Amino acid sequence: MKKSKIPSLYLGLMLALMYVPILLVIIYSFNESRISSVWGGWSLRWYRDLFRDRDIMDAMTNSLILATVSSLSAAVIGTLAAVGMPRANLKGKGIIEYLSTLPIMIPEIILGMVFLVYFALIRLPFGMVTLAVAHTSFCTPYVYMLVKARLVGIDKSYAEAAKDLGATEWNVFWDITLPLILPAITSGVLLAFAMSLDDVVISVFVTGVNTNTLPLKIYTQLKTGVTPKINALCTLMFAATMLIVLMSAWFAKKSVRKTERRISSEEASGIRNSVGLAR
Amino acid sequence: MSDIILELSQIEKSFGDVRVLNGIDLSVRKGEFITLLGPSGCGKTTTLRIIAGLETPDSGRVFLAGKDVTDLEPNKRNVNTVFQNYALFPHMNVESNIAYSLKLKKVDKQTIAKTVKEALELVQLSGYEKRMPDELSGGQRQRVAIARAIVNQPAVLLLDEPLGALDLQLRHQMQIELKRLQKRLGVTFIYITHDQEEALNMSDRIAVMRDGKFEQIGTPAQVYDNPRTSYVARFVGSANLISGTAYNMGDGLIRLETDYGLGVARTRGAQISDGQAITVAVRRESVNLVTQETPDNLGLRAVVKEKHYAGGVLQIIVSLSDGRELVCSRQGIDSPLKPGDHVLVTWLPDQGVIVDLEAAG
Repeated sequence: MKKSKIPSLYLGLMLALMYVPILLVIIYSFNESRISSVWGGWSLRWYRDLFRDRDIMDAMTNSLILATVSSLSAAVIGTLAAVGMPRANLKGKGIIEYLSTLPIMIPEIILGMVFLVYFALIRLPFGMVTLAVAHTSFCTPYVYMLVKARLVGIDKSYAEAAKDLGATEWNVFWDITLPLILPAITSGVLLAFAMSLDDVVISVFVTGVNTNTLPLKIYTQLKTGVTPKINALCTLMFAATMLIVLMSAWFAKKSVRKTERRISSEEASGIRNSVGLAR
Repeated sequence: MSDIILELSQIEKSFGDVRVLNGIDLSVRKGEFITLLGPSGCGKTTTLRIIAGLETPDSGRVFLAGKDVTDLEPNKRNVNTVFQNYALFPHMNVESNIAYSLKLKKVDKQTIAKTVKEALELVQLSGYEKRMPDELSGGQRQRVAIARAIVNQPAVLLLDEPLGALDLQLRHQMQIELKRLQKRLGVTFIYITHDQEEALNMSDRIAVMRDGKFEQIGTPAQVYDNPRTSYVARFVGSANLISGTAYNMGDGLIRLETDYGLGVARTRGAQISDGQAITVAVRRESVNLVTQETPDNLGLRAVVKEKHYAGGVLQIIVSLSDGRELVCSRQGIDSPLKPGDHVLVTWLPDQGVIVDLEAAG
């Protein structure tokens, strides 16, 4: 029986639909010509221009600081939540657990509005601090969900064996639990980092007059017309994001592999996908 | 009394509505190898976890070397456990796994290295220090788990079906090794299994458990040869149980009258009144099948139903007139009997043990 060509055609079409625009931006970032639609030969001119642009470099610094601070804060908060929640003896624990993943589900524009109103209400000056708080809040669920999934797969007899051998709760956390969930934390942090790095919508609402992040900078430059410099910037950001996402996936895979067979790999990759696709 | 290392007194435990332990009493002597034997769900693992401190009993006390440890955390008890799935820390190598308890105690590095080396020698795994648990076979993991549990020199070592995951051959080998290890270390072992053969092979004493209670505690010989209840007779000796009415014949013998014929048993000092309903346990290998009438009319009338020949043991299943089945097993030789043959089931007086006397009386 001859294999039908339709599935491969369909796949090719879908891939083209998704990746051709990105590919075009990447190619045109190396375009010598000033006008985007005209090809003037290969050049690194726009990359040179890009690194000489103080505004853009400042925005990049801001973005990196912001992504680092918010993803690390999310790591601490998310991990503590995931480790502590099963021990908590609370009424309505299910609701709290559900609520804690809500920032992933709520449309960003609404989240942005909410932060704007809230920060104005408590008179927090808009700038890096408001950005960091907002970013931490939408980054935390990623870490929480990944760590929670990993914890489910850890046999509780490890903790019991450690206690049996003389460990306190504190020893158990540092010697047993933390090393076993570390790949999940790392994966969550990298994902959160990528999310923070490319966030526009929430940042628009909570940033200050003089604070710019890289995505915000790109967005505002669009209004004054796209220069090939923006193509170069987009290419760099795309590369950075890809790298981070791939690393995150690699750590998540490592985490899943270490997980006992009790949690099936489909389930784990399902969690991973839902985390990856939600935004 | 000073050689009693562990004592359980009236332990009770429920999980939700399910009553798991029903008043457990147990005294374990120092250096003893005691086995808790019972089917899954009988509460043996819960008993072990209470001794380890991983569960708290609803009522009753646990005494370790004379001290009440009922409310002590597991890390404060001089007891270590070999878990059913071994629970080796997957992110630590063999050496770190074994050294873990010593590191917690802040023992100096040299002593730790020496102790770990000795422990590995003891379980015959020298040279495996740097292996990770997932690079070990089941039997090797099991040895590491034992090494990890004994470096701490516990007063009592608890073993929760440690051989359950191993294949049959390795299991037999490990039974012998464990027993030798226990002799050499002089540590008290409390061992859990549902395998009666394992229990009989290894233990100094066996505690047969049923529904959260001890049915009988005794040496393997006592439990095997002299089961107190039909449950013990069936679980430990896979014995045949025959019910009937007893009549004293003198000389400590009774005659058992049943619907299928006559049997015998020794009273072994028990007071049996004529006409009392009793149950007699007869082990499979004690059962004789004869085709001719016996001189004193002894024997239960039965029909051969099936014959199995497996691994040098011949099993013949016969059925009585009401459909109840008895099993007879023989070493080696085949028998001329074939399904459908009429036979008489007999046994020697010494091999008929009257069970369930307490329950009946």
